[in-house]
Amino acid sequence: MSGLSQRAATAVTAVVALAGTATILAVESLVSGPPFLAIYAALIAVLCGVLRVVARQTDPAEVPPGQWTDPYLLAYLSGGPDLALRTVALSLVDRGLLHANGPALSVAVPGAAALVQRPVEQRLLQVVGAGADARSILQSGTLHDGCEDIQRQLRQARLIEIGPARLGSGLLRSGIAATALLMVAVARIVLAASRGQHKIGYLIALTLLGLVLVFSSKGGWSSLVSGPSRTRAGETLLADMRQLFGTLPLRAGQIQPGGGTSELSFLVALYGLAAAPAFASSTLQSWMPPAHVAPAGMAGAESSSSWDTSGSSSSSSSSCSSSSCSSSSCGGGGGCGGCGS
Amino acid sequence: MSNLNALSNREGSPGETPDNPDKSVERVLDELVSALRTALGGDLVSVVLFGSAVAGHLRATSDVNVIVVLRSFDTGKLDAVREVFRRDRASVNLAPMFLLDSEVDLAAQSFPVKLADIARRRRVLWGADPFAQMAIPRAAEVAHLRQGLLNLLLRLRDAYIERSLRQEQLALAVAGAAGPLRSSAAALLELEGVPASTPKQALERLALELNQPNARAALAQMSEAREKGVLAPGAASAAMVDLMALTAAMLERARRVPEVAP
Repeated sequence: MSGLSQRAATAVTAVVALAGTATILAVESLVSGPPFLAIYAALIAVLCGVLRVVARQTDPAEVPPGQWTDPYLLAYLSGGPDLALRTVALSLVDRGLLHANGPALSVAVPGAAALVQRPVEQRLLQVVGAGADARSILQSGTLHDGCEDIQRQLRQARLIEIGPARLGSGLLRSGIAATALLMVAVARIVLAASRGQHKIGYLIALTLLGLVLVFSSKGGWSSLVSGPSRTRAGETLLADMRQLFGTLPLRAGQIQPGGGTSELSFLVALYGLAAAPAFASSTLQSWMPPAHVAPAGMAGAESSSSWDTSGSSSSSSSSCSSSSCSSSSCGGGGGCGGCGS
Repeated sequence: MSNLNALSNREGSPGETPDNPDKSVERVLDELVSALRTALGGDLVSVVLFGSAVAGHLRATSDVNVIVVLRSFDTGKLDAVREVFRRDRASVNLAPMFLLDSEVDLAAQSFPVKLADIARRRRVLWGADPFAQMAIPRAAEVAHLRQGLLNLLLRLRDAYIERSLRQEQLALAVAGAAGPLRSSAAALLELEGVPASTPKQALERLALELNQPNARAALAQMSEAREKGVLAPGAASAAMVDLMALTAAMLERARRVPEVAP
């Protein structure tokens, strides 16, 4: 359950900002130079800490009741649209509805789109049509419509949140903190000037740094550019599902090709492409973006790729683990402009 | 909140032993019963767990065998739980069987060894026990026991010829023999009137009684193959040879079991 409502979180931020501002202004005449800058830096740290804590406290933690039986939904929750689309494509190849010949995809069964039920499956089959390059399709925004359905379900269940949806109150809190910092800085500069002191360069630099920090904290501007994020409830559900499916990776070698079960989809959805059994590896290999087939010496360049949000098997020797890709600016992975954006 | 790209490799890394597979199974079974009750209403007679899951301590690769006993196979109602079954197959290796209550006696006649195993090891998860009054024809059970052992022996011979040049493949065949060998051993001892407490113990007891010199080592290899999926070089061939000998000895003993209760 959320610890704080958005209104209460904003009130807490305002109280702390006001108290901090008042305290500093009260002692402003008693301290000068580095000691003042240290106190000011402490205010910045406190405000950033408060923003972080209240952002977490307003984040829903309770998983809504329901049967989480859709592997594509879990794939999206686990690795964003990038992993979700690859899970869909791999599932369709496994079922024999899509034909993968190297990076080339084509529909293997006439009218295959009518044989599948999920919108994202239908959309992928329609887009592939007579033939398409897997890498360009899976990384482009072409499949936006299909993924939106999954994204909507996750948002409705408050398992993920998208930038603009959570920006409002977060930005207000960042604004309050920034106002407090600016008030202190301006007051100090005015008072210093009245005393004939003009060494304000460090204060201005610290103020700018503080503004950057409070706006880049959770719920601030970073929400706009960071793409879909799991809420605490999303984290809880994902951990819970990985616990529930804990024996599946140990049974990966026993999964039979053909799509008779959903084991392959759940395996990839929850544990990433690297967990796929051998029969699926060659297909996955051919879906790698160009960076992944670069010479080994260029492996470092792969770390900025968003493909490997799921720990692709082909990158096992590279530094691009799923965690190392977290700095990617693509909220949704390889398809920066893909479904999740 | 965590960015979706920031998936932790540690959290999702495959190959980690889950904290408690049995706990996951219990949870899945609870949710399954609940979903079945909601979807089927009065059409659901009972849900029965059988096989190794009854005793707990499941391996990662173990099936979780469940019989769903129904009044009728109404697809209009069962459609609502299809996704649940697919998920549970993936999560805990759930292997369901859908049986009408009117088919229980026919099943006992048609699959007497299987049903005898269910009669020995079952836990009713919900509803009345449909197997409490089940009568398994002894003659049918004896015939099916012999048929099953002969069939297993033929499959083991085939596996030896086909796979013994590929040791890793043969190890899988050795592991796969465990289920039918154990259930056959349990059925054999039960028909002889000296049942063992578990199928595994039944097989171990028979291995001793049948004077198979290498049978115990072969059973140990079989357990290891089930556990690890591989055996030391050369071990799979030796184990397979010994398992074939044990199976043949069990078949010979099964042929002496009277079809009418003494």
